Amino acid sequence: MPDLVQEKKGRKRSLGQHNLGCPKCGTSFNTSIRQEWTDGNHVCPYCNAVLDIRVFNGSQKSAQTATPTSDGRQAACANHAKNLATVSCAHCGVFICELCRLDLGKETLCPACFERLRRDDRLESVQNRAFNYPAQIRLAGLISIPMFVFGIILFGYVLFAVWKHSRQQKRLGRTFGTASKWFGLICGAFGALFCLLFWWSLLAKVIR
Amino acid sequence: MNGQNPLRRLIGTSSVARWMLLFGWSGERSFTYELPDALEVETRDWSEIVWHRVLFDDVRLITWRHYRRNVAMFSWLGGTLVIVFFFLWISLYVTLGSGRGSTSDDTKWVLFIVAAIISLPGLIGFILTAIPVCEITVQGERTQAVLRFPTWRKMESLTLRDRLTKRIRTHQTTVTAENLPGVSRVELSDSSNSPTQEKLG
Repeated sequence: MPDLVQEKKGRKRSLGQHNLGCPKCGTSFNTSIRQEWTDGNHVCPYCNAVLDIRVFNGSQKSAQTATPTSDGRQAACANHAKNLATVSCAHCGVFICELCRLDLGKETLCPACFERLRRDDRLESVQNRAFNYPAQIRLAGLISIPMFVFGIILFGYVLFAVWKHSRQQKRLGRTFGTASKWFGLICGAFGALFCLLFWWSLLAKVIR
Repeated sequence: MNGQNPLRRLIGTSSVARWMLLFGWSGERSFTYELPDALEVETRDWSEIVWHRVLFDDVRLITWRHYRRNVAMFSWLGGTLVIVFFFLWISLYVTLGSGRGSTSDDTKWVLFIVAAIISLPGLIGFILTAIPVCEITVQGERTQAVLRFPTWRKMESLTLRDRLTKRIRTHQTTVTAENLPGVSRVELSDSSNSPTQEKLG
């Protein structure tokens, strides 16, 4: 048996979760195994699954290098005293070298500020999660039809979620869940209509 | 990660059922889009949408396999629903039949149709899961994308796999040549040890 890193067997992995190895059993292939393999059919040494594999070497990039300070008058990096500072952090203003700088499109941050802002969820440029309002809209709209007695309340929630979703799309600069939104809106509108008709007919009977 | 690339194109989807505490089985769907230099995966579950990218620079492995999914969950779910509603139908039939007068044929059919409709999702789930699938995984050092195609789209999945392989190889070669000017393209293609690359030129 080759040297494998076996993940917990039977655990369902999320689709986005990373695993450089067998897609069936979740066994991670070590670098030595991957280096032996060439393109073609291979059998997973652990679960015997037949895999048609394409192997890549990856891009080789030149490493980022920092310039050392030549004399005492040049500003040094706050984290590396021997490296020349090339830029200052847009958030805290500290001088940083080429090794420390983190370019985030509009601004350059130092590693400490980056970590702090990311932890506080204040870095929009690295945000890759969003609340799934379209799913909530679809669910509330769908429920409002069988539960038409509360149709108005559910339609109110649908409208609130649609408003939140449009704000979210603007903030993230993305368009997503349009079909779910319209489906939920139409179902919610029908639920609200049934609700109005139901309560109207009930009231009419009571008044008579 | 912020902002949507206007050039992105949907190339495949995938779904998986996950066990979640308090909520039971929950579906998670992922949509894979192709960008000029990466694959963008949009994963949606009932409460959250997550985006991540598999950069072409980062890709180490592409796998393809044809297999049948584990249908145990849908068998149990569908089977349980069918059995529960069958007994429900029988008990209602007996109860109504033993009351005043006998149950009319219409009532029997209505009960049967209601039971069938309620147990239908389990059956559909079972059938859909029983269909064999072709699965492509594009695995990078940090992230991966999973694309599944039903068995009748086997050729399409193979074509996509070959096209992605070619694009990724070209991208990696170009990036390496740009970053390490001393290394020639010939050396790179020789070291990749790839019959597909030779075939594709």
